[in-house]
Amino acid sequence: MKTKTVKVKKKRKESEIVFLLMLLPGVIYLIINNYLPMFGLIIAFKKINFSKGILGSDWAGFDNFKFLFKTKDAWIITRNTLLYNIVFIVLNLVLGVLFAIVLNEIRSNVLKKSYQTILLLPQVVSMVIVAYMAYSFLSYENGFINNSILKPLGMKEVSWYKEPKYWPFILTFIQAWKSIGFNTILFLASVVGIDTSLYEAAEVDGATRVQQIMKITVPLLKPTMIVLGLLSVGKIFYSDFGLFLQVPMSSGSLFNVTQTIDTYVYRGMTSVTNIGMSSAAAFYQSFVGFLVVLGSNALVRKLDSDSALF
Amino acid sequence: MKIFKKAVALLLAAAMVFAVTACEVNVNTNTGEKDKAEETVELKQVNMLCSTWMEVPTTEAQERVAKKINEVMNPLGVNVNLEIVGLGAWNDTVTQKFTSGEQIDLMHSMDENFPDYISTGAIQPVGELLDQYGPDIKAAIGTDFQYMLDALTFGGELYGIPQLSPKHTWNDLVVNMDIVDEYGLDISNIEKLEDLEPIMLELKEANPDIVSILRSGITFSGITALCTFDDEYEALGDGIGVLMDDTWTVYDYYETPEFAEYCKLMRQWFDEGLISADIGTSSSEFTLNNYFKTGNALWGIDHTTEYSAEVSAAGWEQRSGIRTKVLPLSDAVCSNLIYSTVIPSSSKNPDAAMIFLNELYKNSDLMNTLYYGVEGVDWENKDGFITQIEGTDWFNNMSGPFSMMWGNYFITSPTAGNSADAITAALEFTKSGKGIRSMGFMFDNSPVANEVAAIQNVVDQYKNDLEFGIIDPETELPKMIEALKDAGIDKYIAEKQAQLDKWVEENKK
Repeated sequence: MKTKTVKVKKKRKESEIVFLLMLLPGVIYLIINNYLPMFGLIIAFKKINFSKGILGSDWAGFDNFKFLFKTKDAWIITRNTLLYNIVFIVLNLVLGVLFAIVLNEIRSNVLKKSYQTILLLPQVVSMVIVAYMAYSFLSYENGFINNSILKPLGMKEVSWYKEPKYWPFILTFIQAWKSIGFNTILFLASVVGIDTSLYEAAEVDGATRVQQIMKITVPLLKPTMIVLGLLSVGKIFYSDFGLFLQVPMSSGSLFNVTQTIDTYVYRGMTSVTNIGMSSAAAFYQSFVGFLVVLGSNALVRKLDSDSALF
Repeated sequence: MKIFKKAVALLLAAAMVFAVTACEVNVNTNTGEKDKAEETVELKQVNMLCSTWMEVPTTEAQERVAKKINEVMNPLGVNVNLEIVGLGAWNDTVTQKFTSGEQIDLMHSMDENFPDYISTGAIQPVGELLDQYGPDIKAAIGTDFQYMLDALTFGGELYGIPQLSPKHTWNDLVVNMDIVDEYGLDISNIEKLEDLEPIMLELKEANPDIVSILRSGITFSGITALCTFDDEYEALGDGIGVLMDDTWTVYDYYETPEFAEYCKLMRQWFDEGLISADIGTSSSEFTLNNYFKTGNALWGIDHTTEYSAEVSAAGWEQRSGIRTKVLPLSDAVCSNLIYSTVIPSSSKNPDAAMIFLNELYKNSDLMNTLYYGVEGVDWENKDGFITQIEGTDWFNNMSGPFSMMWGNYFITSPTAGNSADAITAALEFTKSGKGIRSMGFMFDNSPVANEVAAIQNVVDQYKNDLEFGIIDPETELPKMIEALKDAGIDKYIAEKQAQLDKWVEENKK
């Protein structure tokens, strides 16, 4: 009896070795690509001198971080980055689930596939092109909205690129439009995987379609929602650089609602060549992102320990 | 059978792991062979890093040009290796190469980067090398361009070799003559900015669809306008701390009454409908050339390095397809060097680099190759003019496919479409022009880098909108000034003043 279990264990170990070996390339890749560069983080604390090398350069303490918190812009860029990202995360989850469920209800396979493709198209369009698409709608003189909608209706034209109040909505809309396809596919994969016998049983019990969705689909999607939510929460201090830099066309009047940490650093660095300062900004973003992930994971673990990432 | 399967799986896994290392081994043997080959012919490797504002040439084209260059350089014991980077990726590439310590022996530097390169120890002094290996560089620079060498000297050490090319700029008004003739506008009395207004109003009256100057956007900014109508003004690099009078006092440009006046005038023009409401967006369609192409723009302010108004006008006509006239608005001055050649600290063969550089100031064929490509393949020589070979699109608009930021432009051949003496005329023009007062002063902004980053954001937010009258200077200009104070402009001005005073002390007495 004893010898048998040992044998089984040994056998299991042997087969595990093969699997572990298969893991190795991925791990090596992770170490080279994601972990080794982390030592570059010390650049954020150095006054770089190329002739001395990175390690030989003098320490700068927190000097490189100062410019991030220097002016009252610090508050604006932090607020913009955080609020936009919170809205984006929530909206992406809600819309993703909604569209996934709706797509799943479609019977015709051809229709389903074509809707899916159409939804996914914006995802592959470059932000620069999106910016010009937006411009063709919003331009004061030649824009579609002013010329073809507001004017014929006898309303006053709006100078879109001068009015900050519209931009939180415009940016949110463009972001949702662009990323909805990808999120839908992620959730659709989970929806498709749900055991159909659950629905059949519910139908026998007389549950309506809406009840089935609310009582079966949504609860079963919860783990996926949590994982995806946590993943995007980790990037809460990074903004979609293309969206915030390109789409508002660098219009100064809009800076209060379009400037985020990334664009602020980018604009500041156009006249300063200091890799210490740009590293400092990246360090700050990833550090806060890390804390937020730890925090939200702790929260999830408290509410529903099975769904927590770690 | 089972064992066999396992063995295969193990093998596969191992192969995947070692594929990575195997690549590295391969690379190593390659470079090893290369080193050996070099040793046998005793060539010193010079890695040359260039940027181009045109499309980056194909690897094939780069190799072709490098081969041609090496036909000249190998007998001198130098083997040149070209690497060409698009201007957009230039700064990133350079930083990356500096950080990794990769060998670069020659590269060019732009004005704004030059002080940074020195303060971060990225480049080395070249004075001794120039004395030893650069007699032809010295001959080409002579006394006429000595001030350029002075400008590249820091703390008694020379750090860069100036590129010799027309660097003198003058400001001019490019006028669309098709429109002027059609509407009978009188453009004979333009002396100051305000003179433009009645003409634009007259045109607006006659045909509201034709836009006036100001939609031309990026070429028209307050700094250009001020330079145009006031010789005393000097931008001192970034145009934030500037000289406004004949003293060496540094002013905050955005606090000067001149800037306020200018914004007020632009606001008035904006209110009169002379400026498009779309102009605040940084859209490339607002370049003067694009507007000229539509035939719908009256004029724009431009600065040019051409040696005469006729040549400049011919250039505009070629690019936009309309009849233009260029009205000079200022004298030609050299306000900056823009490009110089530097030897990075990571260079292994600085002597060979200087030997190669020396050739670039005396060997015409070599310069033609570097600028325009290989003769017979990329261009052909027609009566001494560099001419595009029919059926190729190797160079359009007279711009070389290769880096034109090197060596001595004045020994290259003229391109087709120019007069035979174009190059000599350009040389004479460049010799006759003077450097500005602050020529050679380069502000090292690293002590106030935190302030500069914050200031730049404020400038980006307000400058464009104020200069095009999009926002009302009455209320917005004070806000901008306050934001600048908040960003630390006072500290910045003080630092610039201190550096300038020190520079004046060393160079002007």
